[in-house]
Order: sequence, then structure tokens, then C-alpha cells
Amino acid sequence: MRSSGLRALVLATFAVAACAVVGLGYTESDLLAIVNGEIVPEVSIAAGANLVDYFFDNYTQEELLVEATSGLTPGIKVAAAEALKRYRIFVNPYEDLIAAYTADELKAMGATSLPAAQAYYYMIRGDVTLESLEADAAGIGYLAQAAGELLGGYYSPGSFNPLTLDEAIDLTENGATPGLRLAGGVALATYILLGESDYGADMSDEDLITGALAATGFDLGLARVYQTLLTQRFAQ
Amino acid sequence: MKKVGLILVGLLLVFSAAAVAQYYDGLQDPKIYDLGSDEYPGLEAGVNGGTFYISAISNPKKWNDVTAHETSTTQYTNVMFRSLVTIHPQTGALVPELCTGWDISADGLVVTFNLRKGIKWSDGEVFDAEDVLFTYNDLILNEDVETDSRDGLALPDGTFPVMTAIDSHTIRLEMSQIFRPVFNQFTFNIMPEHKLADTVHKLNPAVPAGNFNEVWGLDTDPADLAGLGPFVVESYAPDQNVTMVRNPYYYAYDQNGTQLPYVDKYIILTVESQDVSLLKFRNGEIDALGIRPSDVPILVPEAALNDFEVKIGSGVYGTLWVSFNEDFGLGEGDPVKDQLRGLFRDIRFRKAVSHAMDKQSIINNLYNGLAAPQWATVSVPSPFYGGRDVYGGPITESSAVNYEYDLTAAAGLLDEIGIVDLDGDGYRDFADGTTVEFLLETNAGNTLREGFCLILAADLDDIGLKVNFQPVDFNTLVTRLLGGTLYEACVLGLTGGNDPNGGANVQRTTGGLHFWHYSAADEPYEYERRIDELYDLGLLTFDNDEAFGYYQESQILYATDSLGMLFSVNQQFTYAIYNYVGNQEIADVTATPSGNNGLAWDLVFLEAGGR
Repeated sequence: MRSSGLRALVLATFAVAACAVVGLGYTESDLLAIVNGEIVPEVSIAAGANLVDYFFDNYTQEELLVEATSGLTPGIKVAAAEALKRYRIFVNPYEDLIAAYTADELKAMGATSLPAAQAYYYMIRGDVTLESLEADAAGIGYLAQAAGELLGGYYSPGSFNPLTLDEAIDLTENGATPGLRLAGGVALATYILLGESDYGADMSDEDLITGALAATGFDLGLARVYQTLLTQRFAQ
Repeated sequence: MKKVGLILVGLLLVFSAAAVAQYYDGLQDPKIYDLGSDEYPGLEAGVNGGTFYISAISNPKKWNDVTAHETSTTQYTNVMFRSLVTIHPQTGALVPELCTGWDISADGLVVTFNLRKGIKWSDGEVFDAEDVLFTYNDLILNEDVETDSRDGLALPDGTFPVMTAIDSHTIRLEMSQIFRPVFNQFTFNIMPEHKLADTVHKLNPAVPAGNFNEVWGLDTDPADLAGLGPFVVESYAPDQNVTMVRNPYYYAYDQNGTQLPYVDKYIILTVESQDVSLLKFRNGEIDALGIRPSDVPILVPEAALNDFEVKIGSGVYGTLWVSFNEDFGLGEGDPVKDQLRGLFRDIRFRKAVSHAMDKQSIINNLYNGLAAPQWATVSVPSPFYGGRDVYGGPITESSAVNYEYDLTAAAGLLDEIGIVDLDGDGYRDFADGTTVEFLLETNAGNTLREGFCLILAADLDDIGLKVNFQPVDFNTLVTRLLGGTLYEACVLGLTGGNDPNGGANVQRTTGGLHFWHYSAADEPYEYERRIDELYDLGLLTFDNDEAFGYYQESQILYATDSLGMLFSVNQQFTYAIYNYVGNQEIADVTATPSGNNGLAWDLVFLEAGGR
């Protein structure tokens, strides 16, 4: 994993550095290189989010369906799924799970499967409270991660229990558990997307990629924030 | 020089003609929306084009707006037809629609409406006073026609305003008494006389009595329909969609002379549930969605990324309630039903259920905190809401009648009635040993109402009442609700409005929607008589403060003595809409109590052609 991570780092930062030298934005080739070979999911997704036009123009509907569900990298899946929306086809990662399993079954599966954990909280979202989500996000594992993601929806500006920007930053960086940090990261990412925060603006693209590599799978909140920032950078 | 002058004059005439030729041929009095002005602040002139998509979880029941009792129909007919006056989409005030204005005589007994000249029906026929008279005299006031619009028009002395035509575009309305909400009541949609006169037995004895109630069903060829609204039905595919296209003769324009509606097509996708609607919104298949509180944390984080907005507003019009049928099994001679009906008719039972209803749990679990307890029959946003101290004043709730969540009090009331657990199985019994149990129904697919039923059933189980919960199809449910003796207990909602008299068909003992006690028409309770009186008094003054006093008393009396509908909570408005939808401020439901997702469809437009 470590060597793969370093290789991935080389791939992405090479592309990023090359663009910096030339002074141009990211070309499709640059982003394709990243999305095809990048291991760090957040970096891959950020590149994929900017390849929707390419995938729509170069893949058939049938090919997109395959890539959206079975694509080799998260970025490919995201690009294909977003392109499919233009055909009014929505690849919902939860739909099959929700149709096939009960809430209790999904919860049990969620111990070892992140999609199942996410599907579980999607299914029960009408039954949770702020307090119950905070308690769940303070745990460990995929279920806590999924709880933290939904909790981030409560904490985001414009939602039920919005954190201030400072609170969102603090929770992202210092939250007691990965789930709570992810909740903070979702809220902070929302502030960034709304243009209401300059968090990370002083970080170079290389810094963001390095940060995503360090955070992925562990520091979930920062990983989400770096993904958001990279999505914006790759669009330039 | 003279020749040049003539040429210049000619050119000027050409350009002038072009300037006024923006309205369709013959239209003299278009309705002009000056978007962005003080009259319509925050809005802007848009562009024509595109298709607007929303979703609905019910098929329409018919295209006949006059006989419609349910929102599954009126959400469509409200864009197919138009009324004499309408509610301003932003302020809730009554404004002219098919008329250009009105005059009130000095004694307040005569109102004269001036109709817009040159309006055409969607089939090209001319609209005039005959259509208004036909709708009012031959449909609304026709006892043969099953309409909810009639009850709200009655004056205290039992008479109805008399409508005549002074000429082809002037309507005269004479009343025996001052009728304060007269303008509110003329928001019923106008029907085409040329299309429908022959279907009315009163006008055409060759058709059977009640024939009109069956016309314009879903099997009607859309080409046979005609309306004055912004859209006409193009096609209907059951369980799939309703496609509507612009009415080429719609009489409304913006200040730039652009004919409304802005969008060319309006498609309503029929879906199985609100979860599917959410999916379609996130997919971009629909452009706007009235969302549940539980959808907010899902949508907010992705809103900026996917270019839509989640709106959380103020309290909404409408109610969510449980109702017990005080006429259940009436006249059938079934002792089991008679016993249950007797229980439902006991105010102590209804108060017990009110005490057992955990409203805070409903607010927390179903609305994520975006709701408040509701106690009154009048909608919270209305200036007549009983939680205010004066007409249009701030909400203080100083007169609120609240039943606090108190299981001990609830159990005590049931004990007092004499229904106790005789056999130790945890459920209360009638004196003959029969378990006290009843069927609780609501419309399937509405997760809020289903959730409310589950919470309520659990609450009632805590006080020893056995509840059998069953979700049913909406149109079937409405049929049972209006059947008089059929339903036992039901959870539903009503849309509400600005003026209490708009709910007269529910509150009056003779009202078409007084569904929990239809027999009150013959044998009203004492408090029902008083509520009828108060509704009469509220009509007899143009002084809104005086009227407020009457309506507040009726709300308090209803909450203390009636509880025909046990209100639960009032939701805050939550909505999601894509940013390419222009004039989405119209989506504020507090300004548009007429329902239909709260959007004034003729004013929204799609930027850059839509999604």
C-alpha cells in the first residue's frame, strides 16, 4: 500500500507540477491520467468530477452504466455516474441494498461494508435525531463513518443545526473520532462550496494531494475537504 | 419632404402596431405582471422555453375541477383553469385575475366585477360573462353538482349572492347581507359554458340528473377539455405522467410583452413514493421538490455542488390530524359499530387521545425539529389564526388550547368513560368484554403520515387502546372519508388558507367536508350550532378585527368541545429547487396557500433552456 501510495503521489503530483510549470489549467489528458491511475480516492474523485463532459462525449450509455458501477477507480465511477444523469439515469448506490435488505440487516452488514453502512443511515434518516447521530458518529468503523456523513448534513450551513465556520474547522481538525471529523469536514466543505470560506486557499495543489494521501481512510474530515478543494482546482 | 414625412409616419405606425400586436388577436385587457416592481418584488422577467418537471405520488382522479375534493386532482386543475380573483403569490392578498377589478356599493351589498376583454379559452372560443354565470349559477349553486365550493358562499340567512350579467363583460353580485369574504369565495375556477352546458341536467334534461359529476373523467380526450389557465393537458399516462403544454391563449404577459407561462411544457411524473421523488430530484429528473425534513441533511451538503438550493421557510398552510368518525356505522344496527361510535362521540375519548399524542416526538422524529404543535382550525400563516391576539397581529399563543402530552391524564379520562382492561391483556375493553380496537388509515406512500400513524399507534397502545394501522390508496381513502359511516379513524391533512370562511365546508354542520359528523346536518351538537353562528357573524362585517374575534372564539370552542380533527403539528416549509429555475422565490408557500407545490407556474422560467 505504501509503495502504491507513493506511486500514486508521483502520478498526481507529476501532472499537477507539469501544469504548474506550463501555467495552464488541467487538460483532459491530465485528468484522465489521474483518474485512471490515482489510488487516493479523494484525488481520483476530484479528477473524475471534472471529466463528466469527456465521459458523456466518448462513452455510450451502455458503457457508462458499466463504468458507473464497475469502473476501476472511484473517479471513473463518479464521472460515469454524473454523465449518466444526462440520460436521466441515476446510479444510486443505495437503491439495490435498500430494496434487498432490512434496516437491521444493513446495520449488521455495515460493520464490514461502507456502502451497507451508508445505505443503513439513508434508510433510517427519518428516524434519527441529532443526539443519536452524534452518539453514533463518536463510535468507530463504517457505521460511525456513515453516521458522521449524515451528521455533517445537519451541521452544514443552511441545515438544521449548522456549525459556525470556526466550529466546522475545529471539528474537522480536532474531532474526537473519524466520524465526528467527517461530520465537520462535510460542513466545512459546504462552506467552501458556497464560497463562504477560504480554508485551504493558501495550499498548493501539491499540498492538497499530499494532504489527501495522508488523510484518506483515516482523517476523514480533512480528506473530504481536500477532495472538495481539489475538485475546484482541477476545474480551473 | 412631405414624402419623407409620410414614410416616417408610416414607419412609426408600423412600429407602434408591432408594439401592441404582442398580445394575441383580440385580447384587450391582458394581465400584466410587472416583475421586479413593488407589486412583484424580487422577481424578474424571464424567457420562454423549456420543460419544467415535478413529481406527484398520486394520479389525478379527474379533470373536473368543480367536483374535485382532493389535491391529487386540483394540483392539475389549478393550472388548467382560472378564477375571477386569485391570491397574490407573494403577499397572500386577493387580487384580480379574470377581472380587471371590482366596485363595492356604498351599502356593501352589491359588487360589480369588470371582466378582462378579449380572453379566449384554450380552444379559441371567446370567454365572457356567460361562462361566469354558467359556473356560478348552473354548477356551483346547482344542488345536483357535488362541489365543495358551494358551502363557503352561503350567507347567514341561508341565501346565496345573486349573480347577473350587466353586459358581456360586467358581472353584478347582489347580497342580502354584507358578505365580508366575498372576494375570497370567488376563487373558484371558471368553467367553459360552450363545452359543458349540455352535460348539465338542469340545462339539458336529456342527460340524467347528476350527469355533470361524471364528466371530464380521465378517459376524456384532452382535446375535448378547455381552460383559461396557463397550461392544457396534452396527454395522461396512468402511473407514469401527466404532460401539459402552454395554453396558446393564456392572457397573462410580463412587462416586456412575453406571453406566459414562460415554460413550454410542464410534466408531472407519477412516482410511488416521496423517496422516489427525492431520487428523481437528485438525479435531475425533476426541477423542484417539496421535501421532508429528513431530506434536508442529505441535500444540503450536495446543494452547492449540484447547483440547487434547499429552502427552509416559515410555517405552512394546512394541517395534519387524526379524526374519529362520530357517525361510524350509523344506521346499520351493528352493535359492535354502535359501541365504537359511542366511544368516538365521547369528548373525553378525543381529549384522551389528544393527551396521548406525543407531539414533540412527532416534531423530532418526523420533522427533525422543523415543526410546532398545532391546535387551531385556521392555518398559522392566516391573519385570523387564533394564536394571535388581534387580526394580523404577532403570534403570542396566549389563547391556545393545548393538550399536553400526559399519559396519566389520558388514562384517567378513559377510566372515567368506563373502558378498562377487564381481561388483563393490556388492552381496554367495553363493558361487554369486547376489546376496544379500531382501524387507523392513511394514504400509502406518504411517509410523514405513515410515520405519524405509527407514532400515534404506539402512543395509544401505551394507554391500552388497540390500533390496527392500514395505509391505503389516497383516492380510496378519500372515498371512505366522504362516505359518512365508513371510516373509523383516519390521518390526513387539509390545505388551509388565509380566510377561515374558506374552511366553512369543513367547519359548518352542513359542510361537504364535515366528514366526522355528517349527521350534524340534522342533529347538531350545541357547540356545533355555536360554531355555525360564529361563522355567520364572521361574514357580516367588513371590520377584520371584529371578524377576528368571532373566528378566534370558534377556534377555541372547536379545540375545547369538538376535536373532530385532532391536530398534531404544523410543518415548516422545506423545498429544494435547481438554481436554473428563475423566479423560484415564488416557491414560498406562505404566500401561496393554494397548494400545488406552492409555485406559481406561469411565473417560473428556465435559464438557458433548463438543465
